[in-house]
Amino acid sequence: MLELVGVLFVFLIIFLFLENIWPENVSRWKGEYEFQTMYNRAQQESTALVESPGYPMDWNPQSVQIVGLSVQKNVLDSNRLQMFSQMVLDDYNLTKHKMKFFEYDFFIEIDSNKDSLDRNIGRIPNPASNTAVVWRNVSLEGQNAIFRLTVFR
Amino acid sequence: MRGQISFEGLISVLLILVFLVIAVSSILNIQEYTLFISDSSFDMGNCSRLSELVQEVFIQGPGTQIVVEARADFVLNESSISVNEAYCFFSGIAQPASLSKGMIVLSNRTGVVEVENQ
Repeated sequence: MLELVGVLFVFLIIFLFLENIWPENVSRWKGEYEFQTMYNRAQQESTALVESPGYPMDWNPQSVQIVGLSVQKNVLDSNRLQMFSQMVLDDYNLTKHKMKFFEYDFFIEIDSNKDSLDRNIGRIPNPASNTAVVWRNVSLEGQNAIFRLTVFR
Repeated sequence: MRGQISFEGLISVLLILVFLVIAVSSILNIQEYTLFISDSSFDMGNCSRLSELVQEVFIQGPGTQIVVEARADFVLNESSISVNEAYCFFSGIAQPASLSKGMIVLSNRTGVVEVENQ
């Protein structure tokens, strides 16, 4: 009888191990997959924002199809930045849609040595959000700045 | 008595059989998920690479053309690409098309990215 209890015990341990370890691995993989998707999107959008003028080139909040903030690669244009900030303030969801973020939210921070140039645009992520952050070195009104895009869900 | 099996022996044999069934089904699950993960990663990798290329050609502006290899069939929409189940967006405007894997030409003639098989 002791052997039977022993066999049952070993069987139970192996059974529980197999039942738990695999779903755990799958959910970890799903989390990484989701992060990678979000990170790729953040990377691409940051490129569009800091390396392109947008489309059409002379866009305004009504005509914009692709948001771009630069006059040349990594050089941000204050006018476009101002228009973009206003778009986000006026209708965050519409702007997010135009940026193809859809299920994600975004937050952009521009930090420079000149306080008057610094900006926070978008929604602040809460600490529990899954976030992907991309940094870019840019120039704004002749000042070096860090452009930080946080995409989160 | 000869030819008889004890109760404990019978239970042990049953447990071994149940264990084998569970082990085999777990191995099949693992194989299935491994295949799914590998396919999804392959599709997402291709999707992401192609969408970056389309965006790059869009950003570079009219007159840009590149030739690359697509490792899977894909569908190009105005601002997204799908490779099987993987779906990615890009910041740019493209001419919708269905493309086969192989060498493809991405060109920007008028501000809109056009992609065709070579």
